[in-house]
Amino acid sequence: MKFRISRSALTDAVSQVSKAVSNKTTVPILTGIKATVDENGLWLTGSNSDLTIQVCIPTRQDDKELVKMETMGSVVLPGRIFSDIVRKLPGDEVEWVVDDRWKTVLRSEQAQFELKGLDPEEYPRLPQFQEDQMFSLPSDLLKSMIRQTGFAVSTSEARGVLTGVLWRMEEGRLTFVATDSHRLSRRQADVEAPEGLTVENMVVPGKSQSELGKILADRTGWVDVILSENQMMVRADNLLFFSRLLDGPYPDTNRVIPQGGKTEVRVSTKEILQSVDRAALISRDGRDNVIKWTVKKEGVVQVHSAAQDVGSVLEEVSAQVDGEEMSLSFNAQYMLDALRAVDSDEIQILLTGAMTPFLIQPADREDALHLIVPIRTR
Amino acid sequence: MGKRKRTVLLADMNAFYASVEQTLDPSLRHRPLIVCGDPDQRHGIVLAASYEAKAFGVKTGMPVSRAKELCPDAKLIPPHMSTYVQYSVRIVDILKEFSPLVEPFSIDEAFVELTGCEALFGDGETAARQIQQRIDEETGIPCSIGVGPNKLLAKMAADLKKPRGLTVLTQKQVAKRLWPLPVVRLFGVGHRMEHHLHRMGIRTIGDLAQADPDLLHHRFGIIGRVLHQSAHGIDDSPVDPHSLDGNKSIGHQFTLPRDYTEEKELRLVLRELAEEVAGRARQAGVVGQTVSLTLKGADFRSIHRALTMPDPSNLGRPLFQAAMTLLHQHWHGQPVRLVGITLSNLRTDRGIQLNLFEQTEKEQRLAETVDKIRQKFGKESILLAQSLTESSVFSDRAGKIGGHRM
Repeated sequence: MKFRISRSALTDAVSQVSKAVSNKTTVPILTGIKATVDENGLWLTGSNSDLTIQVCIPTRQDDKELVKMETMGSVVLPGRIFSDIVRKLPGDEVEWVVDDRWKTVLRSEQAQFELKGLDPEEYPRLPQFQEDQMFSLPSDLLKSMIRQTGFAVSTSEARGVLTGVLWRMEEGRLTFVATDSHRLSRRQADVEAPEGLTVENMVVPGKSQSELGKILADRTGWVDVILSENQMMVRADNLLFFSRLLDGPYPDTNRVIPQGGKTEVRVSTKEILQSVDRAALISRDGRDNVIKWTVKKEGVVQVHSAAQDVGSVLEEVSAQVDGEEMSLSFNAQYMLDALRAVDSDEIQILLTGAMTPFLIQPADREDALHLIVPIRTR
Repeated sequence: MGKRKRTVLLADMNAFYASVEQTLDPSLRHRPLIVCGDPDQRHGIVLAASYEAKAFGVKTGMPVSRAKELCPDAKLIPPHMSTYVQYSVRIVDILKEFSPLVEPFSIDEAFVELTGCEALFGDGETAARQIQQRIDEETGIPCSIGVGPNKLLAKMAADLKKPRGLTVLTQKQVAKRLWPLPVVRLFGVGHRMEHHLHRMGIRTIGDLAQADPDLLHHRFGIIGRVLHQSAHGIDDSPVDPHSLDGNKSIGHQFTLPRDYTEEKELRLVLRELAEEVAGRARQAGVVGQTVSLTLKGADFRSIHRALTMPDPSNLGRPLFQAAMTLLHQHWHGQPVRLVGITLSNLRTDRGIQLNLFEQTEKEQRLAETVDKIRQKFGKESILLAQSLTESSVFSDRAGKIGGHRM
């Protein structure tokens, strides 16, 4: 195995696969990064028990030669030290030579490292997928769906499937649902899928999904999502992303989403966001982070927060109010998360009672919703 | 407190519950007396024994059946918790006349920081004598007092001579008077810790003082270092009048009328205890997130395990579910004689985050309504239907005053 490679392309690729490299040594080989070079380019693979990331540095990109391959081959290098070395190499190019006992020499300008590699045959094989359960969507859409739901997952390991995001697919419509049982976020979009493809209970671990969002960050174009029994694969340009799926049935969330309400409020997203953000300056020190809204008929939402040892804040935001007047308290962070995820200048809020969940939706669309369960105060 | 030499005193009421009973009823004086749960129900343990009973070998915490074997003539009486609390408050009030810094340590013990009050009452020993005399005159309760340069040595001193002892322990006397004692006598060493220390070859307080503090730290964490300091008589903790203000946990335990071996029987007891603990949490205006389960049997070591729930609560059902999870994980069918549930990790219930999938709000309203009915018509006026079955401990519980804190 022998080739030369652009150092900046290598640094980028290594930092991407490093996100999946295991820190635990239960399976020692998984603390390594697998590298395979052939006429198409260099493939790097990082993996842990939850997810696997495979990135390709193509031989040529935009008329630039990135990889000059002399002999094909494969090796596994210790992940942490390899990525640290690559980041600190001095030159623009790296020469990479591996002998038949996996001893690896990395040379860049005046620096030369010799690393003990491992037999790539020991590295676990990637899961195999049948391509019949597949749908496609633009990368930008997938990223926004991830951004608008991921924050609502539970961060407590004990919550099982609630630590993941439900991906459902029906009649060409993809739905993401995330909830920690105190708030819920849902986003829907039409995607390209074979007729009749239905996916009922695919639960992607929250951490995997957020890594996917990060790794897609500057990728445009379309991505394919392919499913198997307990794994998913996302395929984009020069990237394969595999994640384990969570076991167990996701709770039925349709029944908890209110169909109608007592009070409807329309308000500027930016104005209400800023006022909640200010009120949170007082509430955030309290353990519950409670702020209170009083919705008044004359067209205002009063935002109030008080903390025993700190002080209080009160302000009014003008709004269009239809229905009963109402007061309710909730966790300010849940509201901030939801309002920041809404891609719309105006929102519509549907209140159902002081102790029952309320809905926040973009005023002009129906494909996104956020649900917040109030805090019971005395 | 700086480097100033301190004078701390611990007043320990001798055989407190028994002494109160003897003060109130002269016919009980100078004879063996045991305060215990209802003797007819084979109710567990000795809560307090008079010195006359202690002379026969009766000890606090011993099963009543064993105590009766040792001292068949002893008079058994049920506890009157509210009376003991009144006495305890009166005694603390007396102590407060000697210093503003009084820390009630338990119902029958209190620390007094005398540092700076020497000009008023003389040195520690003189003040202690006055205190002893006043408590005896005004309440009739005998007490032992320990005087030392810190809380640890005051406590150790008070334990050296009972009843009616007055012991002064200085830093210089630690090696001579404390080091020969078995390590379990050191404040902060329980039976479990004693067991661990024995395995390391540490049998006396002196052995502990000579042990390598780094090794103790490695083995027991920060507690190891604290114990090593304690063995040298070193303790910087202040006398804190508010130490009992914040209730750090709410718990109930119950000694069963017979050994329970069936899950369905324990299930019912746990259900009732969970309701009881939840009710007390609601009364105190708190919710808690950590549930601990204690099980004790005649022939196995106690099981004590804790679980943190996803959301804090003061409702019986979630507490019960957590306790059942712990029971399933850690109980393997041994006969159980004592069951306890404790709720900790407490915070105010002013805001309760409601849940999308559970009827928290409805359950909360139901619980508060039950609380109100019980307040008005008594605890037994409304209860779970299953509490009418034989395994129930509820009707027994409701008659108790306060029960006993774990």
